Amino acid sequence: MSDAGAVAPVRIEAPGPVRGIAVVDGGKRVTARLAGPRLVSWSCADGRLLTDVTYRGPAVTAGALSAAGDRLAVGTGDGGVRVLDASTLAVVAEMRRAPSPRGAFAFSADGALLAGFAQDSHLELMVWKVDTGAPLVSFVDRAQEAGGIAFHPTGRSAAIAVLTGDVLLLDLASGRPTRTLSDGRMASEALAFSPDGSALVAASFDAVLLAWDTGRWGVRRLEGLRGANGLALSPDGARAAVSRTSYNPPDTPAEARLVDLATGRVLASQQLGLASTSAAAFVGPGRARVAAARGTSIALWEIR
Amino acid sequence: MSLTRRELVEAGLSLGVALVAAPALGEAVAPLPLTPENELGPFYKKGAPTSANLIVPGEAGLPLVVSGKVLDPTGKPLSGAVVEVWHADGKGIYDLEGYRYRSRLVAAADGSYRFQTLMPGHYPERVAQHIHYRVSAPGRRVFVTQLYFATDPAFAGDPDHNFSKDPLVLDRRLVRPVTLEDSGGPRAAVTFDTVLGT
Repeated sequence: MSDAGAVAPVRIEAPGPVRGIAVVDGGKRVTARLAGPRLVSWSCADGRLLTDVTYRGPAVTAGALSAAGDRLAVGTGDGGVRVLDASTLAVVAEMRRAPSPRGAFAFSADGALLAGFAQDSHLELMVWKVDTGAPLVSFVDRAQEAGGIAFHPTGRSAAIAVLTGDVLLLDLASGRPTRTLSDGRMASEALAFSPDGSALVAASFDAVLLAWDTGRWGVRRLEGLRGANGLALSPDGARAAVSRTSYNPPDTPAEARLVDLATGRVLASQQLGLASTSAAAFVGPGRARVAAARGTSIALWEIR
Repeated sequence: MSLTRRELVEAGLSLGVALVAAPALGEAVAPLPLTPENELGPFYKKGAPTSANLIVPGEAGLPLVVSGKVLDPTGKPLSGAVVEVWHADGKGIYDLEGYRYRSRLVAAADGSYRFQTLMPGHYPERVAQHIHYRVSAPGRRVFVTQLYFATDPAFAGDPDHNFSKDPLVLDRRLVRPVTLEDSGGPRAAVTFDTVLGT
């Protein structure tokens, strides 16, 4: 195992407290969400400021950035859902028929689909086609509470993590669950399909990475990987980059790891100091960019 | 006065309606109010051990006994209901990798359950001390709630006015009175009945 700590991180000072962070555009840019919401992007290579824009519309209940970093989805208290150009915050599309205010959003990897969860604690999901704003499918399960969603790269199915630790597979054509993966004991902090669609990985709160092969849905259980609110999979689904923040207790050092999913071996690790939010993205088959923020301080590392 | 057959039938129907409206010879019983639900939170964990004693030897804290019954709205005990409880330790830390301060209890024939633990600390991202509940009973939707304590410093001695200082405490009824005893050392006791709908 190598420690990537010898490589000096890129350090950035944000113009306000960072509420959320994302590594986008194939690891080329880091984007922070500040109050407002205000969206600020920097180059990962040298920390140069790229954009700084503030949303002037109705009060926002939730937001999410696309993987390419070019689109921002925002939900407002009146149930409105808009997709904005992330560099100008001009409205690109209005999503139609949101039944209630949304509490969380997620884009598909290609940015073509947008998922929005209701603010209520039960699982109420709506998926839209971003280009037209037309609802594609909705799914409600009042016996469950939603934790997160990942779209399969084909856009034909999605995985929904629920707070009991189960993962539901949802067919996006019919809106019906096709399988329940009950291998998890706790809720997942993060959930992701590999870009080639061969693997689905859930990083759960009990320090376990669950890696399913999406052909036979066999599961590999990798223990001892504490927390992973940032999760990214390599293009071939062979490796995962996971990053955890400082919580439970709040002075726990944040950490990032590069993990071989076939063996569970930790290939590289990086201490991130104290962090309230973190994110990871692969920049090559064996390299990942990790960002962590606390207050107004952002730091970027590369682990390999 | 004689009654025709039709009048008898009508009288009987009326009597039947009266019986339905006033069961148990006029002793109509108001249904028990359902216990308010409260969100599950991210730290529920499957597979907790069945133990009525959650106290971890050597850990400091105020011993706490929680007891109650699992009932349906008519007051019928839900025998065999599974009561899963979990909470932070005295420092406000959840055990995520193990099962400290987690248990899976089974309600007795009279619907009762009881466990002893230590008073939870304040989890940093929450205002109020709390114990999570997830109650499963055959034929009923899984019920999820949280138990809060009237003695919590966060409520500043006035939970009626201050319960909403924790934005997740949506109903005052979930804040339960605490009985403090001193029997060979201080001890707290709380009663928390849960009334489940269908």
